[in-house]
Amino acid sequence: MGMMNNDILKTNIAEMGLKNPVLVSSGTFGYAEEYKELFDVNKLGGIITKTITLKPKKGNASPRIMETPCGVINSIGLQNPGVDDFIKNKMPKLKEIDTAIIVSIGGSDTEEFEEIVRRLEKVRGIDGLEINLSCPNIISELVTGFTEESNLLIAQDAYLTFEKVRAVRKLTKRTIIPKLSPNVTDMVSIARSCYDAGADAISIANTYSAMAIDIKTRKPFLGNIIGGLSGPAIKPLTLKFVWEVSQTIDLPIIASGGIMNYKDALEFIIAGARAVAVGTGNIIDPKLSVEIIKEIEKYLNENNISSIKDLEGAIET
Amino acid sequence: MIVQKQFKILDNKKVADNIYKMVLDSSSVYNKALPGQFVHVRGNNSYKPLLRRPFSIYKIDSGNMSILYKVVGEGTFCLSQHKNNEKIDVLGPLGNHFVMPEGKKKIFFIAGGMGIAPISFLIDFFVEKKVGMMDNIKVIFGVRKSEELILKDDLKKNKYLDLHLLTEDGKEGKKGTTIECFENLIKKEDNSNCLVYAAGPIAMFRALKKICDFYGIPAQVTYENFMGCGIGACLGCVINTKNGQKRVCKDGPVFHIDELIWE
Repeated sequence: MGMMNNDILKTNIAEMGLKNPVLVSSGTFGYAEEYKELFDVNKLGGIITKTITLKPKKGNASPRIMETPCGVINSIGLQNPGVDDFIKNKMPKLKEIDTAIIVSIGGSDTEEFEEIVRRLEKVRGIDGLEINLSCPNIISELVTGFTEESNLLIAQDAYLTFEKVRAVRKLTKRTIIPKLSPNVTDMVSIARSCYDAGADAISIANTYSAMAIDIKTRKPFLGNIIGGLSGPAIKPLTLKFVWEVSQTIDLPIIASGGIMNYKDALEFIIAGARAVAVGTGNIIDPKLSVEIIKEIEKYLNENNISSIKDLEGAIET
Repeated sequence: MIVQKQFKILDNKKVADNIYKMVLDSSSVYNKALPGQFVHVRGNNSYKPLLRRPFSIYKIDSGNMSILYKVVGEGTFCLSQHKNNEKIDVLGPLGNHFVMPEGKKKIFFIAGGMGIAPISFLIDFFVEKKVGMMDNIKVIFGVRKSEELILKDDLKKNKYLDLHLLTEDGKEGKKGTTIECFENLIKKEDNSNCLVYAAGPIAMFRALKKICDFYGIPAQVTYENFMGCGIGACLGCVINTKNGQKRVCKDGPVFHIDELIWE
């Protein structure tokens, strides 16, 4: 039973094979170190790392996280040790994990993206790159996701998106997956830029720009004033984006947005996603992803579906 | 080792106005937890509240683990609604712990409000392990309203402790604050060999810092912050310290008072 069943969850994103369609999303899983103590991370379909920038980044002022009804607003601000430290101290442990390792990269301009990709090219054990074009958490300085001209996120502009993805494409044969912002009027046009620039897949989507105010002090709750909303509150919103983009753009989609159980994961797959990434759910229940993998397998067996691939875009409209 | 598990609630009762004690059958898995460590508790399996809530461990006793909590918001209200024999999802023990003294020291335990929970665990540990100079432990416990003087009977019974109870309303113990009491005591001491362990609100730490600086007394405090994962991955609770950025959940919650930045 075991051997046969393993195959029903197998899938792939371009050249990158996945043992199952459940990944963990960037920023909620660090570099997997902390979670290793809690469960067997080899069971995951893939790990998308915390975003790496060229230089170390300190991130935003505290408080960085707060709760809203069915959601979480965070403004971590891409705190990370920089690409060189990542290669030296994080990668050796990450590549020992028997799953797809997708490194999330961020930069403020094309040159920064190019330099990170060049440095990572020499490193073994990386299966793919997620290009973070959409971190909503920085307003005080022009860093990842923001262009030098304005406070626009890269993923809010079709040409800027094309430019960054194209630059990365030229430097690597690895699977590249731009991560898009939901804070857009037309995600399809941004996704088309990714396709035109040679992306292998797209990640839909990052968090929703958000804020909260303490009425006693009249101050914003978050040190950074604004942050990104995640959690079950956003699931229906992102689900609609996944469906919409999958109808038009011929690229595999990794969907992430408030997945809290296997039903949420399956909804995204039926809407058109190839794989899903659990984010905020990890923070609440560290073992949630492995639970979801088990439950998806059970669902497929119970419904006589021989491969998870058969469910991709199986929505009946 | 960190364990995430559903534990049965053996007792969840009000011990004072708005303050509850929850005893969990943690089947001995937390027996090695150390004072200062905390557990991250999921209020229920719905999305309201969504995040876990961190609580200092208050007691480890014959395989059971207890926390004390004050109902201040949605998360703690949700905890207070649980009945005995229900199960609750707990992740822990998490974070670092108080560092025990080397050699004989004059120990001051200072607890403000709910800070009595980790301090009480620390007192149990000192008494059980006969840490330090057992005839010279001063406990300073202060609250706003006298009814919040939880555990006072247990503390009074403990023969090792020189207990100082303080209330802001003056109805019980002495009228005043923990810091006023500490300053009066420290003035009379040869303060060369003193050590402070403190838990409580930030305002108390600020005042404590001034006195510790003046008399040159080292202090360890448990710090609080809004928290996400509790295991050091999400970087939601990171603060700036004099030794760089620290995750309250993983590098803390116990810090040396000198390490923290008090703006």
